[in-house]
Amino acid sequence: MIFSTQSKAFKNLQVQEDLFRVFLDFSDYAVLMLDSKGYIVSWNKGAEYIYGYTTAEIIEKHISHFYTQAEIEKGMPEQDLKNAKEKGRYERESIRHKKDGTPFSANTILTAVFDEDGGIASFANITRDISVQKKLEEENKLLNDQLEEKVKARTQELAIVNKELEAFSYSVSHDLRTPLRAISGYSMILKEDYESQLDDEGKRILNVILDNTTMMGELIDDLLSFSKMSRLEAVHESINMNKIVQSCIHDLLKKENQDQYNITIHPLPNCKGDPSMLRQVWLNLVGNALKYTSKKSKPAVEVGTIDDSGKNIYYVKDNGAGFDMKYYDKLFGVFQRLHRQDEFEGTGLGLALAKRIVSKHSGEIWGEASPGNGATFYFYIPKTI
Amino acid sequence: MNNNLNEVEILLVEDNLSDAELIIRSLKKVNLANHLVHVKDGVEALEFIFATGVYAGREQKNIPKVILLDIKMPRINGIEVLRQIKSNEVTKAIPVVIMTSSKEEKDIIVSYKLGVNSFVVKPVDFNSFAKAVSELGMYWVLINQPPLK
Repeated sequence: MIFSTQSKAFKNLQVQEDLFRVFLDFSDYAVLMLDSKGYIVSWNKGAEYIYGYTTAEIIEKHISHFYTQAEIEKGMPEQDLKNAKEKGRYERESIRHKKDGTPFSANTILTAVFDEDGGIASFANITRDISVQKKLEEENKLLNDQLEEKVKARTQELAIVNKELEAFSYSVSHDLRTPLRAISGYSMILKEDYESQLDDEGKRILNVILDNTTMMGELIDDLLSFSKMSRLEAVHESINMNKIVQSCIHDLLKKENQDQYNITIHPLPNCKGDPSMLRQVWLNLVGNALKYTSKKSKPAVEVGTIDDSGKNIYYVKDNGAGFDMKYYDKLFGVFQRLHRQDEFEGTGLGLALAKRIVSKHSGEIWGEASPGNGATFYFYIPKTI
Repeated sequence: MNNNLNEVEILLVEDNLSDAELIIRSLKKVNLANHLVHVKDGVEALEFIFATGVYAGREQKNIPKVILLDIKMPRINGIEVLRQIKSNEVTKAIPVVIMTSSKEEKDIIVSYKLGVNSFVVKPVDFNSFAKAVSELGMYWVLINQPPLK
């Protein structure tokens, strides 16, 4: 047993010697041993490599040899030793110089070694060249700063583009309406004052002009509400969907023959969102349902919800003209239509607007249909946005 | 239309001649265009209202019963004309009706802040437009009681 313990101690000693040798040969760290006053008593290969002095050149020099004149004048070498003495270990980063004067970023750990009486026996001074790391950090910071600048510049650009768009839609709103009103107005004058002089074809042509001015007026209005809706921030309130749907249907049926429609409205759960925006969604979906069923002998529209594991999915189902799912990708596009103007009138903005609004609420909208067999549109708005 | 500039009931400020013709036609139909003067931009409007420039001979105290004012005009726009009318003690009592093509909310807000008496968006559809103009004319010229001169 005794033998084996000795053997273990012996082994430990050897390990430590090996470790020490590795340490001395280690080129990444400059390991200097200083006496209690700060004079260099030994240093390793790493120190030679990092500082560029030979052992003969540096032994017995004071550690202040590696400090700049300014640091020496401030008493920093003494202060560092004092800090190490008081705290046992003192670490700092500084700029050190190689023998040829090349500066490098250094991380230095100064450790005090105490003798048996608690006095300072020596110091270990371990320095690492962290220039590469520092350079990377600086480059990183520079890149971050540049990125921030870029984001700022881009945000500013976007604000300008937004302003321009606002000016554009203002201009569209004003400048397109004015000539349109002239076309409509003068056609009307022609009709009022000269209708008796026109034959049937002349009257027909005049009516086509008038119908088209009405159509273009609607297009401009839809386009404007579309661009406006895109600019507006949605407010979030609790919305009574039943009330909104009732009022939409009431408004929509003013223009229609009410009795012909069979409209079923199931109770709808409340929702959180922007009331005027979501009203627009209902107007467009229910409006479409009424429009595309108008040519059926028994037009039916159903409004309700499906509970999909806590998600309230609202739907509007009709038995109208429907559409071919082949063209589904066009369905929500701006100015996209799946029916001809002489079949069903429209501007091609209704569903695009509905989608824009639902997206603004982080929700989803989709539809399914087949030609002649009606269409169903679904949307849901997340409860917490 | 009237040549006596001291008996003007309606001052129409409109740079678009088609719009102006349509407005005047609609007012004529309800016999309201007899005392109407049409000026074609903001500069001319201010000269008429403050009796300066080409209207220097006019008596400023004879104020129109209503000013129909377009917004988007070259040189001085309608908002600026409104601002000058409403910030002057002599002219601020004149009823001003803004008639514009755009529904731009910021125009509406600014106009009311400046003290506009009415803000009307010109309908594109001529029938609605004609109806709006004649009703407007009747209200301000026949029904509304202006402040005593």
